[in-house]
Amino acid sequence: MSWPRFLVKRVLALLVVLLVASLLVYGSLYLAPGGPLSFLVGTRSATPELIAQVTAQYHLNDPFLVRYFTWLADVLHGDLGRSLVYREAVSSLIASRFLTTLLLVVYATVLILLVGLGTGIWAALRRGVAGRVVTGWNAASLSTPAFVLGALLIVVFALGLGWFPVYGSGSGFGDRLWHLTLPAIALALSSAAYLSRISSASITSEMGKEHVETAMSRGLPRKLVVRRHVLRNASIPVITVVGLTIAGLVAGTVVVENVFALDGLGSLLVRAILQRDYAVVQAIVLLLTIVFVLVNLIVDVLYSLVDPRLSLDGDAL
Amino acid sequence: MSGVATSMDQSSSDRPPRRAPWWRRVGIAPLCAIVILAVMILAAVFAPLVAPYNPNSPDLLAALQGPSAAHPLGTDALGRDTLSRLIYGGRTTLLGPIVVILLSTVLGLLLGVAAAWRGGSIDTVISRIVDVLFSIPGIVFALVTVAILGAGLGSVVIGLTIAYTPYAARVIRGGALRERRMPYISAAWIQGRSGSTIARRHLVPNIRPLILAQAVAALGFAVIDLASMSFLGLGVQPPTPDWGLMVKSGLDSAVRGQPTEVIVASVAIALFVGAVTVLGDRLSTGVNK
Amino acid sequence: MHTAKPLAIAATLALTASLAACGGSGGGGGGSSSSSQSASGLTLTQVTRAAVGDIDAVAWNLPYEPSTIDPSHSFNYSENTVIANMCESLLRQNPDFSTSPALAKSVDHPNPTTWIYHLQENVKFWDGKPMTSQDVAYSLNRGLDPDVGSYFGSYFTNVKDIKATDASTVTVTMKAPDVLFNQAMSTAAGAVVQEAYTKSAGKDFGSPSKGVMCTGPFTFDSWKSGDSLVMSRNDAYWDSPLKAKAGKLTFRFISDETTAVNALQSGEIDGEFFYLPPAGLSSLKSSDAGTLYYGDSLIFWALLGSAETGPMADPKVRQAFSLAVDRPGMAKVVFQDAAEPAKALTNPAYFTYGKPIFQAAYDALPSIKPDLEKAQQLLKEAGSPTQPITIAIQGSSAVHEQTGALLKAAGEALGLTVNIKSIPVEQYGAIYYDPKAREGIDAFLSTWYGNVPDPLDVYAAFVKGGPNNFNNYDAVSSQVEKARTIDNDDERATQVSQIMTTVTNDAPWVPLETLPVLAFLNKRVTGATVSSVYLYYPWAAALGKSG
Repeated sequence: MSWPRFLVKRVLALLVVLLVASLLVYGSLYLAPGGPLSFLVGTRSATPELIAQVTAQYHLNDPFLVRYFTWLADVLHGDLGRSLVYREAVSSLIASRFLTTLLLVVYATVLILLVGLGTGIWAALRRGVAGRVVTGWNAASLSTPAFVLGALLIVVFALGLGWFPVYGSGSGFGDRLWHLTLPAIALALSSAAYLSRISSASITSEMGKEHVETAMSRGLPRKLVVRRHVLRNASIPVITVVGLTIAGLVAGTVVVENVFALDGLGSLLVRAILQRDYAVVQAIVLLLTIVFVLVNLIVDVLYSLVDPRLSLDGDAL
Repeated sequence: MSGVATSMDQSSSDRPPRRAPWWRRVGIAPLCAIVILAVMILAAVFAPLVAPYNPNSPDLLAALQGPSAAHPLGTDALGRDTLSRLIYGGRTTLLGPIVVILLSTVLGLLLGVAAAWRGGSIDTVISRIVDVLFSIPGIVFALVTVAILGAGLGSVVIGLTIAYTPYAARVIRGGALRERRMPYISAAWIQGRSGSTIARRHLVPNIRPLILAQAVAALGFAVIDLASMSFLGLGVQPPTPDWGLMVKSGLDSAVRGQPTEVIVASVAIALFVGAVTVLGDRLSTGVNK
Repeated sequence: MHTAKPLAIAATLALTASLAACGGSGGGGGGSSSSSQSASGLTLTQVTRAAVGDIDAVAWNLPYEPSTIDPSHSFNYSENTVIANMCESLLRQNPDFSTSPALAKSVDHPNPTTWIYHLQENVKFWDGKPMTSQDVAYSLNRGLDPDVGSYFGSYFTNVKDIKATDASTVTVTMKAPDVLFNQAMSTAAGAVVQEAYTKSAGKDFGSPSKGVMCTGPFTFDSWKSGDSLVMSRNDAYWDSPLKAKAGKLTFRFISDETTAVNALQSGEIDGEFFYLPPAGLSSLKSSDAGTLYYGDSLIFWALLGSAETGPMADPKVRQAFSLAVDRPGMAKVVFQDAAEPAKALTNPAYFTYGKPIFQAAYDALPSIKPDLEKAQQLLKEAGSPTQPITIAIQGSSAVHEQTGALLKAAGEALGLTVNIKSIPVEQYGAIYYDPKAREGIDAFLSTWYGNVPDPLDVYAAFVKGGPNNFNNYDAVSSQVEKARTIDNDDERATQVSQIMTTVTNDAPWVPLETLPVLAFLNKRVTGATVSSVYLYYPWAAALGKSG
């Protein structure tokens, strides 16, 4: 298969996923007990204005598919509707909180790469005690949920030692980073452990390969062999894991932002759910899905670039 | 999941020699994991017999205490015994994930076997649906379900079941596809048995270890997801004791100077997930051997 | 790490608060600054030490974002905290709970059904236009207008008409005598807004885009939804003793308690009124960043019955519930000592007239000591009900959750089935004004307060068909109606204290605790009013630089 065809196929598949996801998000309204109108109005007083606003926003007077496509067209035009709680356009609610979430994800990604790859490579090349320490550390990290880790970090480093602020996002770039340090660690740790495990296993298996052993026995410097042969080949599975991890982080922010009371998209989502502010829920869920799917696409493309041996026909979506 | 080509009888030949003691064959870490899980589950099941106090009865004179002889794990902000809440909390914390795994495994089995067995357009349709479900983060399903049905353990269980079914379906489909090519299946065909009988009598029993390994591995994630939802206030509702909620209320107690509750609940969750992970790894290496 | 030292806390708290109160008088406009000792040893303050000078900008936190700043819809903490500084009323409640003239320089009451308000001259709205008697009559008439749907509508039930009788006089004619009407003119019910601006803003009046047009010491500046609300000093303010000392006051909406406590500690925010104690209360008590005050208060913590059928509709069951609750324990553990066990809804701070009469009736009320035996007996008389009782609590609030857990345990100890239903903070307000939101809820927790310091204002909720009579309790309805017509203080006090005794016994609302205002002020600012009149008094006017 040629490159353009491969890309077109992938992008089409992505669009299908997004279409289905949006249908699910919109259609789930109709599964609500009591029907969409009573769900959207919820425990608020059903004033004529509110009913009119909700009916117009969700096009509740049209047949289902018409409603759905009208709503979808609105969304594609950037009109995500209005929040019933904040009495404000959803897009501006999201815009003002996007930066915090983005910074948190980027910060966590950097930590995952540094710690995950660092410990993974170290454990694989050193073996022995170092390997066992890293393995144990990884096992412990993998079984600690982000919110538990966040709580423990608060107890030890913020309340106990007082090194970090307990909650909140801070203001100004430096202060923001300072406030985001514990949340980023909470978000990153288990993913870093997973990356460490995969990269270590991948390097170990490359080290055992014939051409590497041959190169070593011919007296080539170990460093050179490791760099030229081992790390390059071992990077293929690692890229997949990094990609999936970043995609997973986006969902992970929902929990971590709530532990540390950060004013990002994740805490907005949870509040919107509790307040039955469905326009906000829809918008953030769609956004999370788009990011998740896009990252997966990028990983697929990178993957096929790094390893030309892989065919472009793979049927994994 | 490459190389999951073994059926029960074939893998028996790969087992270590009979002389090795049984605990060596299982491994030290998996053994510890089984003991931990057994203790936690038994304690939760027999909570009324084991727990030293009523988990919901406050003792305002004993609020926010550290460990003592009367309260081995201290008390919470209302003076309720943390050990008793931990024991009772195991019920909601563990029951929810177990239900999720049972439901999603049954659904995954139906979808996976149907796809592998029937093949053709049925396989394509099922596989495409699974692919799409895969591309939406699991916790998002739980969040949307809670948004629609309201906060509560039931909503979260429904949402997570939808999220976990595609995983089970994909793994089981892979296993069933490989199994289908095995000679004994063709033999059964030749003997004139019906397709559904072969699937039920031969195929499913042979991929049972695979199903079990998958279910145990997923259980760890389900515990994390459910506890996270309770922590967020979307799952189990206070004052029902629950580990995720204990982390939440324990954080407030820690701000007030008593970190015992949050540490105890955190350790319990990590220990359970860790034990499940170890057991899951052991089971899947058994399958992959 | 802090360790819990419950015994030390009471002592520290009394010391801090009394040191803080030493500074003497602050605030103009008749605010005196006394501090009093409460029954359980809390030192209560009304006004913080006077400021030494002006200050450019102050950042203040609100527990949640106001839903509106239209005075006719200001019936809650955040809303009132803001509006009280912008929109003035005909009368003014002072920090010591006394009442004095404000936009009305005097009031005539020639007969029981007529109130004549003589307006202050030279009062201007922020846009420079003079306040006219038309504006005042228009503002008061909003209380009668069903389209406005004022939350203060119940004060207007006996009003026949409101007219501007000349350029500086507004006359209110009543269908029946009602003392609460005149008292309510010291709350947002008597707030004056500009007619022209209000009409042109239409539905957006009080919203982030339009704000309000009033006469108060601070002008509405901007309101960015989700972020902040800013008000600025009104340089042309008519009542010079209350001219604002702060050039600009920015309200933030940090609803997470611990984040707010953190921001107060770091000085990012200069102050906040807490209506419930945050988990980090002890760290505020011992903070170097500023001072924690306990304000004299009309606020109480109660379980409001909202069941017309089922167990909670039976006074005996409610009495049993009341007898099973350990109020001192709740004050100590749930409120971290920042509360006092309440034996009636109205604590003695309400007794601003007929004090000996009220006090005698109050002292005669049964003690707050739990009595499980009697509670069991009452339940047996009520037929040992088995239907579950659902109590609503506000989500993500430790105080609500913990009180809910205590009530559940207390009820279950008596053999009742109690379910706790958690409702998010933004939807909690709907329980008060929307019967639909109360469906399936038998009782709910509330931080209630009388709008004016008169016990009658609280008990006036229990009139037949009243909007706040959530469980249609009507045993005192006719007595309440009668009390509202009594102009003579002592006579009214006698009538109202009987109502107090009956209501306390029947427990349509179960009183739990009296809650002082918890106010934290950074050390760079002082002068704020901290008694609970901050809900209607321009508490920030005297807020300025600390010495």
